[in-house]
Amino acid sequence: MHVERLRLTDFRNYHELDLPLPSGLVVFTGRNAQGKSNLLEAVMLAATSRSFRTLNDREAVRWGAPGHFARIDTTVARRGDPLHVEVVLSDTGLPQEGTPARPSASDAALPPAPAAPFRKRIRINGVPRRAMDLLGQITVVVFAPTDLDLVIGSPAERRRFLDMTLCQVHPAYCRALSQYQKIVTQRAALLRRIRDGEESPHALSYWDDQLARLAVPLIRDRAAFLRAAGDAAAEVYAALAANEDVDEETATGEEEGESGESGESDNGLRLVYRPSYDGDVAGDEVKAVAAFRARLSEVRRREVAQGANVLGPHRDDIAFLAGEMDLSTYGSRGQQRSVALALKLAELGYIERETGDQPILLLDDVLSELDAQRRIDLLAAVRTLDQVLLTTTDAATLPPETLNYAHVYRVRGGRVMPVT
Amino acid sequence: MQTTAAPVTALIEELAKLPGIGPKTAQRLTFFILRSPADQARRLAEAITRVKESIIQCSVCFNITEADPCPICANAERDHTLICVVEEPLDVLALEKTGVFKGVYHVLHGALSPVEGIGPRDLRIDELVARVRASAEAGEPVREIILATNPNYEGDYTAAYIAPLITLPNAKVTRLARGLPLGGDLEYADEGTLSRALEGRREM
Repeated sequence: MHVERLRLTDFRNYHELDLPLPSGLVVFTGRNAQGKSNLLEAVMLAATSRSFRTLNDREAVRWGAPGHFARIDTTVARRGDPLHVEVVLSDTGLPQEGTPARPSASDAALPPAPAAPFRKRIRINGVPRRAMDLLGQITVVVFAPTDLDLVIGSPAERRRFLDMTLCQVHPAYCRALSQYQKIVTQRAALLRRIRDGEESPHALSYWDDQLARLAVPLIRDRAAFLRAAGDAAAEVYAALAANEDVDEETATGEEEGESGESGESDNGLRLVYRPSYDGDVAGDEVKAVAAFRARLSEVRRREVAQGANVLGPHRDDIAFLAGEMDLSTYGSRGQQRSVALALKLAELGYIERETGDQPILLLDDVLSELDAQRRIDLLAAVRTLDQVLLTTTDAATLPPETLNYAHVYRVRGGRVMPVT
Repeated sequence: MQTTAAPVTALIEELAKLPGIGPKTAQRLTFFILRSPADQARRLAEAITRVKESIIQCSVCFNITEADPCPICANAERDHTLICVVEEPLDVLALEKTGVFKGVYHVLHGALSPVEGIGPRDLRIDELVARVRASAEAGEPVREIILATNPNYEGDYTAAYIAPLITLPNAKVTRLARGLPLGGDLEYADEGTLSRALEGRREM
């Protein structure tokens, strides 16, 4: 799928933008703080109703915007029907159809109203929808320099990655996840109350049932995704790391020596799911839930002592191994970048296979982080995608051959102009 | 600079604290009251005061009432061996409107929620257990207890917590059915509701 048209009103530094976009590689170039990443952010908001940069939607409204609201309006071409998504972020409740709420004369005498809750209004093909209904309509994969945290950051980053991917593809996963989070919160509070002698451990039984019932499908879906993405990630990683591996191998060759004839595959990337619950979830669901439930009883004493849930998807992690080496800890920065990128491209392939439609790839300022060879490898890897939106401060970082097919736009002060 | 008289601001602020009332609505209500006749405003003020002063909880079912026991508990026509357990007095109102239920109620005044620190002792659960036990001793044992707490995790948990506490032999413990709303459309039901409705299907 690809974005055919992006219209912004008072979104970040854009006052009014109406930008038709071609498919293929689209490059936004310009100095810092001109609004390149804002374009990618707008596409992501239209896809997920969430931003990859800020948790505070209020910041997305252009400073000094008269109506205190921002509008993102996208038209997307996809395999099935075309799609029109409108997201309005507003600071003062719902604006009247299309027009910002105007302060009327009678309001002037009143004290300023307390801040109204920030609202997000979503329309899909003109019909108002909930944020949850938006997921999966437009699929995107974002890659930004901060995605290095996927590899070197806390397990929470990796769980968020799993959840973002699976929520875009499986609505059932998304529903189960949001229920699961409620249960984890209640159960943790209950464990603390039991620890403090305020309630009896019998009260746990209900929450154990609920936790087990939701944890099993979540773990199963995550495992399935990582199995499916593993090979693709390894392939991308092998291509990206090909050059580096030459000197890596000479450096680490001696230590690896004792593992015998370590073939090439030994240094390949392996994604290893590290669930906090390692029981079988693949077979019969009723049995798997019962087994999970039984394990909860075994760890009950520890859970009460800690006043925390020790078992379940909220404690999962992913390991990135090359041979026996954990790349999160021992990999070079270059290898870690390659892992993050491999993971993202594997995500893209997975979403495409599951939905039958190719996600839009958003590459935010990633070229500057890569060496010349990796840039060439990356752009070659994404050459055939429906649409890639890429930002860079310096068009010279683009490998010269890409200029033959890339559509380049210059972004300056909230304006976007094609470079011909 | 204060542009609005203090009493007006005070009323707006008080009204805005009410559930479902935002700042704009609070302003509208305030100006409506300001323009309405003095006796109408006084009646409103008195109604608010009286509701706090004269309303007590029924010593049997803990519903809100002016008289103790409440009219429902005092009504001999109703089936006192059938108790419907609800979270809030508002739920009693809703069930009464159906006109179908001929039993009596028990109001818990909330649902168990560990996160909010609401435990069994904060609700009228012990009172329910004692009430059921006393019914047997009085020779009129409760036949059925309908757990009509809300169909969310807190309500479900509350029901699951209460059920095993009812140890009276021959007393049924039931839970309200859940599923499709009347007059609804299958295609618009969310998956959760639909799967519950499937689970709770009945032979016809």
